[in-house]
Amino acid sequence: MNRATPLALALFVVLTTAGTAQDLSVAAGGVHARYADTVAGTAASLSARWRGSSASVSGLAEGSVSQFATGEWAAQFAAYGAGLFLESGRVTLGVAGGGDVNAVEGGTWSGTAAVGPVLSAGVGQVFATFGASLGGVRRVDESSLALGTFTARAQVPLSEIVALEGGLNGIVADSVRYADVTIGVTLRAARLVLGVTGGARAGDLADDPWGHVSAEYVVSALASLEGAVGRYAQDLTGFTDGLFGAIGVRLRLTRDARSRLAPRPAAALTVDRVGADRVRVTVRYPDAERLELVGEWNGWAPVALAPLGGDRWTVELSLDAGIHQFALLVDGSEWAVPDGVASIPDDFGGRVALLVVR
Amino acid sequence: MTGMRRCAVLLAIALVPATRVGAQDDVRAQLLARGAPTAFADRVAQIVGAAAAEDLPIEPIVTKALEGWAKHARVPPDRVVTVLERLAVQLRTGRDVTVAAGVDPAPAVVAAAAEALGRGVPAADVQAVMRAAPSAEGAATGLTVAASLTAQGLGTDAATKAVRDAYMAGRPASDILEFPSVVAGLVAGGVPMSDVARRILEEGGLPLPSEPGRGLGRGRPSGIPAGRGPPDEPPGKGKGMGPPTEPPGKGKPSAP
Repeated sequence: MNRATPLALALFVVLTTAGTAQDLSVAAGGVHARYADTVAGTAASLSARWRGSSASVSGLAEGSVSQFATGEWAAQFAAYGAGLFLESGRVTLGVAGGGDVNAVEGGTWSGTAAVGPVLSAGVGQVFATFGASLGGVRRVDESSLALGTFTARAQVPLSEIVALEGGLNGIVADSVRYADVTIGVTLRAARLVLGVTGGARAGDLADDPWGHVSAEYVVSALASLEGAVGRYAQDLTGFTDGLFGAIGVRLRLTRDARSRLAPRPAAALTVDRVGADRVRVTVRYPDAERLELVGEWNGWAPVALAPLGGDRWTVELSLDAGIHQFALLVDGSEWAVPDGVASIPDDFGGRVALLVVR
Repeated sequence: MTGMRRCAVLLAIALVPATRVGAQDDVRAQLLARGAPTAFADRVAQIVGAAAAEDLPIEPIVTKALEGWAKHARVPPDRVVTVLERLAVQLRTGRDVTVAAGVDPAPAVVAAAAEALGRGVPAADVQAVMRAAPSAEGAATGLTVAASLTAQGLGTDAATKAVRDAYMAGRPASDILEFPSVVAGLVAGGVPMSDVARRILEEGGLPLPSEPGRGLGRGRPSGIPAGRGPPDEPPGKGKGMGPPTEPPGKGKPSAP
């Protein structure tokens, strides 16, 4: 394998699956790490990532090359896929598989491939996943091991911006056996995503606890800044070890990927929480002398909106979380829904708009 | 209504708790206070009373009656009554469907089921959303959203799949509440409704513009070596409205 292979593989996947890509991106930046105990230091890195999914199958492929300041290179490629086959209520059963290849200059390389069943289930707000797999590992010392794994993981949203995730991973590779416990917290606020993950191991390849802190700042629908620092756990393949740091810029190449981050269309209606059970509703409506909000929350009794200037009007209401149907009463007589707001038929031959309180 | 059924309803009305009788009187008083004709107010009260007698949720009927009268300048009372009678039937069916799904027929769930059924969502899909939801409250939210998506012009299959997949992927109800706005935004941006449906049914779902970074920031940061190890992600995680499945190597012991 040479340094071009991972990007060539990534490019092949991209070209052959471009029609279904929902997330195709490239990233450029720098990394400080040690690979396979043969190359270490600071490197410039370039990577490409593809994600796609259909109704029951999803996948990811990613390739990267790193050129170290010392002259050596490292290259990596990974591809994974999962398919859903049985589904009942909040329980799904599927198969997931994939693998990766990692190499450094001089011919040292490692690889992993495995496939197995995966069961996921939702209980209340907890989303749990259980998986097992069989496969093989090729280590950097050229030895090969049969591989068996078991994974259990749970995700719990603690609030709208904080989520907790914990996992247990068991590994059996010939005589090597260990179990890892990991726990992580993710915070999402506006354009920023922060993640903190830590882990500890029992069994073989025992090591000090490891962990990393990562951050993503969404600059625009096209670009994000990403970075992370931390410490690797001891790797079964022997490819990674020790401390690392990385920073880079990710550019999204597909319209679908960018649209995930696209700003809302014209904010004809905004709803801001101003208290435990109170919200401030601001609506844009041009050419009105008097504007009233009429909705199902108070039996369709009109509530006057206060003018803010221009075409903006506002009012504070006591509303629970949910979707509330409403309309505007313009100048005391004309029923209307503001442009750019989701609306539906009202059963009476007209339309009502939807006011969403999160 | 058959004679037997009329007797049963009258008997039930006689046994209705005082608060529900009060609701029947309340809606009549509210309509009269807003200038509605007595005959119309009486008929509405009758429909509300019959629903109360069957222990159906009456709030949707009361709200719809007040909405209908608020729009009386262009909506004749007879049409309002027709809508209310149809709504009562939908509530009855909604309760039956809820009970058949093994879900507690709480008023909010029954009302949401009735709304979804009234928008044309098949009973089987209504039940599928209920079963996918993490709670009764979530079921009500999911059904309201599915009903709204359908009313916006999305096919019932795509509408219910969007909600169901989101719950299956562990997304909170607060995310699902965004779906009607997402669809409205896509359509306003020139995406045909058929493409919106295709995106839900055949691809990875819809974007959630209000959540920058969801999905894209997860997994390995830029420059971090790809994870090694077997897959451990749930199939379907990230399906529906969210991003595709995370790399199975995420969280493995050998890589961050």
